[in-house]
Amino acid sequence: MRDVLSTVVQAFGSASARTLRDRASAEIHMPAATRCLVVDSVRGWLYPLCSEPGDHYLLFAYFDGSAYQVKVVSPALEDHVDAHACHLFSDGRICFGQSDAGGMPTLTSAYAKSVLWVNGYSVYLRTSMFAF
Amino acid sequence: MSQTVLDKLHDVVLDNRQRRDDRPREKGRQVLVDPSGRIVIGDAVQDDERPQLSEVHQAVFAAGQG
Repeated sequence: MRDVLSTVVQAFGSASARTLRDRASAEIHMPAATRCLVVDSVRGWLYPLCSEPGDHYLLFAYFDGSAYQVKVVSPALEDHVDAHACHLFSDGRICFGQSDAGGMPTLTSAYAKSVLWVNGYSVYLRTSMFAF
Repeated sequence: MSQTVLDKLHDVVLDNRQRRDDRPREKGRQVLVDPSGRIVIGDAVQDDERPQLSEVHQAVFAAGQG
């Protein structure tokens, strides 16, 4: 019983520490309009981005238990888009390529790489070539 | 301006990938983003700006399997 309690306390403490750390990271490094949301019991960070060519995006970053994932909320991915060429999973997550699960180790690193992705995708929409 | 930024970004990222250097130490080969989502190449960053910037890990994206 003590082992179970210890595990629960440890997991809860770890999750709380992660949430606090992520909140601080979001305030310092991410767009001012970033909002913390809980969607389907998953806490994450919804943030807007504008690529260099001027396209607007809304992304959702969250910790999946092993890595930080980023899902494209809007725009809706167009039917003609080749998800494979654009480094996307079929559920709209960006495949960062850092691990088999395609996530990043920190919220900040996921945010930074998502900026690279939106710019690559904006180039793809204009040239059919993913730039990065 | 945008095209210039993207061209420079493209050159820096591809050059680093050819060198297999995902996290370059040389400022001119680092790619950073600010809180507004603006991309900055490392040699254009002032020291007092740096704490707010996030470094882009430049490893290649992978293709989604799902």
